[in-house]
Amino acid sequence: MIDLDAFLQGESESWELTAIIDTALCVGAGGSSGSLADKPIVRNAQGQLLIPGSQIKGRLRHECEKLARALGWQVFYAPIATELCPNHTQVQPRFQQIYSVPGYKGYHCIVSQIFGDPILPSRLIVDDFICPLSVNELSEVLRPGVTINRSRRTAEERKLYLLETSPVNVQLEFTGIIHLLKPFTCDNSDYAKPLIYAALHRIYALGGSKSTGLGWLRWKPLPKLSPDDTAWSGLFAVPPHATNNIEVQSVVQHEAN
Amino acid sequence: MKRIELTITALSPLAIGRQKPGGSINEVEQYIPGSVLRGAIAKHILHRAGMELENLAANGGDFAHLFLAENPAIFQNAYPAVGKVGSKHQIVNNTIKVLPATAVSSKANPGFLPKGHGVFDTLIDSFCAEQFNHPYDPSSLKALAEGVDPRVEAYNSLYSQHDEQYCTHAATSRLLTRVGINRHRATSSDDILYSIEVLNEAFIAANENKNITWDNYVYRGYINVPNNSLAKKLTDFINNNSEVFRLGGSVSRGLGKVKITAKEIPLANDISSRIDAFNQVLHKRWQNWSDAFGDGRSPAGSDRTPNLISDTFTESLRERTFFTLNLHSDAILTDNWQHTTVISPEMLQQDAGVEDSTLQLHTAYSSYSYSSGWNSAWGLMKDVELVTNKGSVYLFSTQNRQIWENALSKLEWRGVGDRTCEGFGQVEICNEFHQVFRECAV
Repeated sequence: MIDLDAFLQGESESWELTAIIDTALCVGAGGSSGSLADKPIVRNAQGQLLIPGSQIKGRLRHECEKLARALGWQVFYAPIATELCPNHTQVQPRFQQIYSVPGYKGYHCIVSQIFGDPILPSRLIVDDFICPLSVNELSEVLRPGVTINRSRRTAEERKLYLLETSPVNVQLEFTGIIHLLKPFTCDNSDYAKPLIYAALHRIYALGGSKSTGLGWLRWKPLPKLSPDDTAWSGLFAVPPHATNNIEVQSVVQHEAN
Repeated sequence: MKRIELTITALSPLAIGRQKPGGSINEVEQYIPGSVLRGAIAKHILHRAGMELENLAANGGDFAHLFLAENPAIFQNAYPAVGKVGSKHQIVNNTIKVLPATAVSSKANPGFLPKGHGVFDTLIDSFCAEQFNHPYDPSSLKALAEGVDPRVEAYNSLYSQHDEQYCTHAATSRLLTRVGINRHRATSSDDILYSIEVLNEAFIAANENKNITWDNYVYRGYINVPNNSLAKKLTDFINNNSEVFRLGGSVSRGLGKVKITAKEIPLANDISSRIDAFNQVLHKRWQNWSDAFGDGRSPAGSDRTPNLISDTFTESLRERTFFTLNLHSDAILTDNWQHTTVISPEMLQQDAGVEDSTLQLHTAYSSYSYSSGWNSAWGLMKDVELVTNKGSVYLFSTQNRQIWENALSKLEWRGVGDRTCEGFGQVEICNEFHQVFRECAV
């Protein structure tokens, strides 16, 4: 029996986050127009710079997968749809019960239960992170690059390219909101928050050409859980029969700090 | 019965897909379909209640009354409220309507005055011409005055009246390109480059001396709720959760973020005056044609067969009441289990629950398209339906007006055809644009 008056206020949890770009940011994709660059930077309808929610979400998932795997969980690989839908024999017996979600067929790993898979909807909703400066306040920055022929150690023919980036060293702030919806089941502890908090601390750079110095960032103070939070302890205590030799407690507490 | 007006402000791009059979591009709708609104609100209610997987048909409370009852709430399409007034775009508060299929504009410079050559309606004139056995081939007077090509063609658009001036409404779209990342190599993955067409979230509201002011796109839609107390509950629920709804696809990746505000508005109860105004104009126009071309008989010396309808039409004109049905959204029409694009008198009587042997369909302007979609609750693709396009016009007449007024009022409330609760088949009786003639194009 559903009564609309019974739930008037929202129940999802939201965190407003701000990333400060220490270097230049290069988030782009083919198909954009309006620039001479081979890889134009992505903007919203107003021309403001943004980091797409899809990138933040993908990066968060990647970090959560690494953490969960290090903590002994069996994690299915994204974004490969077939691997995200394993059959009975592919799931370790000790996870089969935890990875079953009532009403949704198949098995869904601890990360899929947060970020979704081809069967399960995502609990995490990530908005685009937008830099509020208008397009007129930011000049177009084109960064030329050239590929070197390793044999001759000279510039390769027809391999001069232009990347569009944000201005360098101006500490641009990108702000967005991450929403976390209710868990699918009430039986198990909710490991979403500790995983996401830890994952956020592990994101040091976003966008392309990170290895060449673009997109390095720091976060404005991130939300934290106290080290004695029950979710933390649940995260490394489960699965009950897991026999991993990793010092998970120290890893988790390091992330919390 | 209550009507709730929804004002939907786009806070991020909207990816509202329009899947068509055989298409390889994920196109975007230019408005928010009622089915998307209905699905988003239903999903959020179920999520809040934690009852997403239960059968609520028997004892679902407010949810069952809103979505599963015999007379469920009707979620109509939300059309863009950003109109082009003069050379500027602005948010218009007036009702947004669909131009009838009979509206035409100059091919050389289409559009409303003063920028275009003007738009006018051809329904009444072509109907009169047909009765008088005359061909009807209208031209644009303004184009003639300017000495350019005067031919006209159908002008399909959303429109509203703002300060006595007509303006078109449209949403703009752009392509977002995304790439999948190979987790092992941390670089772009093979074969995962894709583009999503999305509705823009902002438009230029003012552009003076390089000072550009932006405003968010706004869409306006309606929900018809049969129960007054339920309408109040739904309005409060939407307003208390105004920023949590997500519309369309890719919502977990930043798209589809909207702010919805709801407001109860009074029901329009002016069908009678609309029918009166339409008939007065039709009679007057018929008189003009009659003055020019006689009583409708074939011209002297002509070997054409006299039109029996027009022979008797002048005499019976005063006995009959004419009304039009204008589709304000796509409709799914079936006749004897087969898809059709014409509302026959029998179908109308059945839909309206009225028996009237004098009901007559004079003319129908309609075209078709295909529609599909994704049902999140099922986790399956919806059936591909043949739909009659919005803007279609059907001209009926009857000798028993009194039994139709109430029925037509209910029809406007509920709609015609199938899946009306998802916004399909919304109709308006006697759209006022039929009274805009060639010599006074707007």
